[in-house]
Order: sequence, then C-alpha cells, then structure tokens
Amino acid sequence: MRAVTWHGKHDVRVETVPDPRILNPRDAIIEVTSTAICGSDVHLYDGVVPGMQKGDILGHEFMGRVVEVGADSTLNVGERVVVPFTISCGSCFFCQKTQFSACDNSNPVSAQDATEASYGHALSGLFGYTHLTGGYPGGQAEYVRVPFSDVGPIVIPDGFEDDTVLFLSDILPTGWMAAENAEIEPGDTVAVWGCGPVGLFAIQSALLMGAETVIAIDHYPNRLQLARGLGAKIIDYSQTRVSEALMEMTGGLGPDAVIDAVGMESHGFAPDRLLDRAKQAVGLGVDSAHALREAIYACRKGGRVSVPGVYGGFSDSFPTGALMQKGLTLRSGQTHVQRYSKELLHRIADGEIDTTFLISHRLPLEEAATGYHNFAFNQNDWTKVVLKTPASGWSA
Amino acid sequence: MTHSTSSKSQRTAALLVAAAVLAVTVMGVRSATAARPQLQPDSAPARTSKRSQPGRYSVTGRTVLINRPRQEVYDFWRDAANLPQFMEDLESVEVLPSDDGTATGTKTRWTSRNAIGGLESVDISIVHDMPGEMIAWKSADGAMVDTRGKVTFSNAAEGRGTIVTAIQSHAAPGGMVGNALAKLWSGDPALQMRHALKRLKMLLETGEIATVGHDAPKT
Ligand SMILES: [Zn+2]
Ligand SMILES: [Zn+2]
Repeated sequence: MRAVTWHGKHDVRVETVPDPRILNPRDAIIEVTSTAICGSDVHLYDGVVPGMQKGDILGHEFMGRVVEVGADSTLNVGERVVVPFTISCGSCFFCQKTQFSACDNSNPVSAQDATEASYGHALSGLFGYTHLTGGYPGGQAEYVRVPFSDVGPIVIPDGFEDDTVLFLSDILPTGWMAAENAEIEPGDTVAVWGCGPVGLFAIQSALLMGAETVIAIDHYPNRLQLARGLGAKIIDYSQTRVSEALMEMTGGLGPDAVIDAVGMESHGFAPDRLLDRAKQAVGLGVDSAHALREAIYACRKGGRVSVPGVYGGFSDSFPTGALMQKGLTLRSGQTHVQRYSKELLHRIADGEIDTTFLISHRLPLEEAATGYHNFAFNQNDWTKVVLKTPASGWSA
Repeated sequence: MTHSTSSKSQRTAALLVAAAVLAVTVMGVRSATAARPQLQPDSAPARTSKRSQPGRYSVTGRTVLINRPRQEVYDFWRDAANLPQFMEDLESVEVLPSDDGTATGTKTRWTSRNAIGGLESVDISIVHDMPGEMIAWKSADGAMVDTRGKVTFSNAAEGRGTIVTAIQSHAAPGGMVGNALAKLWSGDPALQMRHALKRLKMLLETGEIATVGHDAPKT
C-alpha cells in the first residue's frame, strides 16, 4: 500500500510499504478514505518530538471502511468508521473512568519503559505518533490496523460526507474538551491563545457551552478572521499588547478562563521565547511555553487554565507564583476522544456544529509532502489539509 | 531468607558509618540546637528503601492493579501452563510429578532461552500456596539459579479489582562464572518482572497483549 512516512526533519515521503494485518483478536483493518494533517504532526515534521524512527507511518486523524475484522471485533466489514487517535482498551481503571487517553493497556509493554522513566507513568498508545506511544503505524495510508476496534471507532451512518465527521478523530473533541476543562459559567469571558484547528474548535465549543464572550489571540490574519466568523472577538498579538488588552476588554477583571491551544512550538517575540528557542535548538527538550505563561499571567484570580496544546518536555520560568497566588485551576491532557464521540456526532447531525469551514486544502495522499510543507510554513492560508486516498473516489 | 555478609562489604559499611558520623558531627557544629528526630520505620515496603539491603539476595518487587476479581487472577497465575503467556522470556513450563507421584502443579520445570539462544531449565517448587491470596516458590536445591519469589493477591478499593504484588529474590552471583551465568539466565530481573506484570494485566483485562507486530523499538 501507499503511506506517508517520516524520514527526519522536514522530510516526509509517500512510499510503498507492506499492508497491515490483523495481529490481535480485537483488531480491524480500515481502508482509509480521508485523513488529515494535524498540528501535532507538524511537531514531528519539525523534529521537536523525540522517539521517531525513519519510515514510521504518520497520521492519527483518519476514517474509512472496515475491510477485515479479528475474531473479537464488533465491527462489520463494509461499515464506515471514524477512528479516535487515542487507542484505548475500554476495560482498565482509566477507560472505566472514561479517561480513555490514559489507558494502561494500549501501549506495548516494551514501549512503556521510556515514558514511565521520564513522566513517572507510561503513556497510552496513539496512532502515527512516536515510539513513546507505541509507534503504531498511522492513518495517512491506504490501510490501517486498528487495535481494540470494539471500543474506539465511531460507526458513521449513511448520509454524512467524510469531511463533516473526519474531525471527530481528534481536533473536534480536543477543542470540545479544552472548553469543558475551562469550566465555563454564564457570563464568562474565555480567552483562547492560538487559532489553529484546536483553538478554533475550542472557540466554537466555548460559545456552545454558554460563554458570554470568547477572545481569540493569534497573528495570522486569515485564522483570526475564521475565529471572528465563529463569533469571537480577536486580538492580533503582532499589533496589540495582549495582557493589557485582555484586562481592558474584561472590565479590568481578566478572562475567567484561558485556553492555551498553541503548545510547545509557541511563536512570539518575547524574551522568554528567545531563551526557549535557543535551548530547543540544542536539544534540551525545552518546551516553548510563551503562550501558556502569558495565559496564566492574564487569567483572572480564581480562574481556570485549560491546556489542550501539546507539550513534551520541560519549560523554564513556569509561573508557579501566579498559579498559586491567584488561585488558578490548571487542567490539561490528551483528549479522551471516546468520551465525546456520540454527543459530538449528534451535534454534527443536528447542524449545531459545522467542521468543514476549517478545511483550506484537499490533496491526494500522494501529495502529502506538499501538504506538510505548506501547513508548516504557510499557516495563514493553510488552515487544515485533508488527504484523500484513491478509495475515496475524490478527485480535485 | 538467609543473609551473609562478606568481609569486604563489612569494611565498606564501617567506612560509610564513619562518614555518616563525621557528617552528623559537622552538621551538629553548624546547628547545635537542631536535634535530629529518631527515625521511625515508615509504611513503605522494605524494597523501596533508599538504603541498599545487605545480604546474599537481591530483591526486586513490583505491584500492579488488575481490574479483575482476585480469585480469577490467582487461578490464572496458579495454572503453570499460563506463565509463558506473560513471562516473555519463558519458552515453556512443564508440570513435574510431585513427591507423592501426583501432578498438582507444585513442582514445575521452567525453560527459557538465554542471551545466546540456548535453552536453560530450572526446577521450581511452590513452597506456600494460599488459594486466592498468595503463591510462593523457590528454585530446587543445587539448581544453577538460586531464586525465590512470591506473588500476593489482595482486594483493591471497591470496584478497582485486585492488587497483585510480585517479589523475587536472586542470590547474589558467586564470582565471575556465577555472575555470567546469572546474567545469561535472568537478564534484568526488575525489568522482566515489570514487563511480566504489565503483560498479565493486559491479558486479563483485555484478552490480548498490545503489540505493533515487531520487537521492542531500538530507541
Ligand atoms: Zn491531531
Ligand atoms: Zn484502557
């Protein structure tokens, strides 16, 4: 089959690789029709996440048709499914608490040692990510093996175009959980750093959850316009002093909740950012946490800090003083996708959530490298790239 | 469990005590009023102590939470034929006749592949069996490997399943030959135990063991 493979910094290729096969009774094989490039794929593309190996198949946002099932799969051949990026067993302590992204049983045992040593606990398995999370071959391919296929995949009824449901795999529930973690109350103002896909879905979700005002912060004009289109007020940090503006726009109170939808490759021109970048360049595993620092600084006393942005290492100058002295609540984590699948599918069906506004480009799988390059280097215009396989029947 | 201490480690211990006394003395001069409280034993298991345990055996232990009923977990472990399913270094476990000629599974022969690909066997006897609660075993007298261990099963908080703790001790290797043999046999016991318990958990909680179809990554 054809698949998008990682070969190093800014080097992804489309290659012919062996087809996946059933390895465990609960597996299924999916023939992919649509698969998206995610901001966290760009972290891999930029080479700032450890644990990648040459030839790894990328992609964790994908959907398609079931073509083969193991003895204990509950899927049927021919069904259309969207597959959550988190691999979860459904029966461990964490899965039973619906903390699916903390599953104990999906990361192969030998791959658990590294994160157990560096984070104190082993991470769960993820598709198309690093070998720290199992090195599972990803979904930017013609076929994917899906473990625990009786727990993860969302069966999509007829009548939904791929592009309307594809983002149930990651960014829609991730934006939704980010807003949920902000514990929004009536009258609240929520400030969102980063108008990438997760930030935009967090904005949409926060408004649906009853936020009075959402303020979106970015510097890409096109992305800010998308945020405005959803009903957010916007701040362009390249022309505005963000903290001061947030105070003035919230009656001197500060935002009730702040969402860092930027993560470890935070942009910006502040001095802390320069230090972060210098250390990232020499490979110290330092996360650039400029957006998170600014968010904590801006958040009102007793407010909530929600962090859907991806971090992997350590960050310097973390404002522990502001966190404690202002009595902030901090919530974060990989998304418990399976917790939100049904509800969000219903909201899409009811026309309450539209996700297609985000898609700026559709490309054939073969042109994945073009998609990666532009998504990484032309973020203003390339807001979301969906790759289409031949099986989708799509043509440009 | 027997403990014997070599004269070399006695000398080392004496030096350490001397150093500690010196350190305390120096600190005492700096802050004569800060009386150090008498240390009380804490609630943590001995194997987590910062002080190394003197003696002939090195002890490793690990606890895992398995979201299945206690009796089921015990029964699975007690059936020797199941062990190679989660102890990845084991090739096979053969049940041997007991002293009275019956095959009760208390005497077994564990065969594993060593680091150079050869097969090695050691006879293991269950020395204490409390159904649903505990299984303890030891290697046969005179076996190449002197190992003993136990696994305990206890109820976790309501709704959380079973707490499984495995503790294994290996005789400290005697000399260079013993050292090499022990390494060939056992690799890293702590790592093997951690992996075995995680595989057991996967098997009992999900019915399968997570894999990507090839061996451990080379990272
Ligand atoms: Zn993603
Ligand atoms: Zn689980």
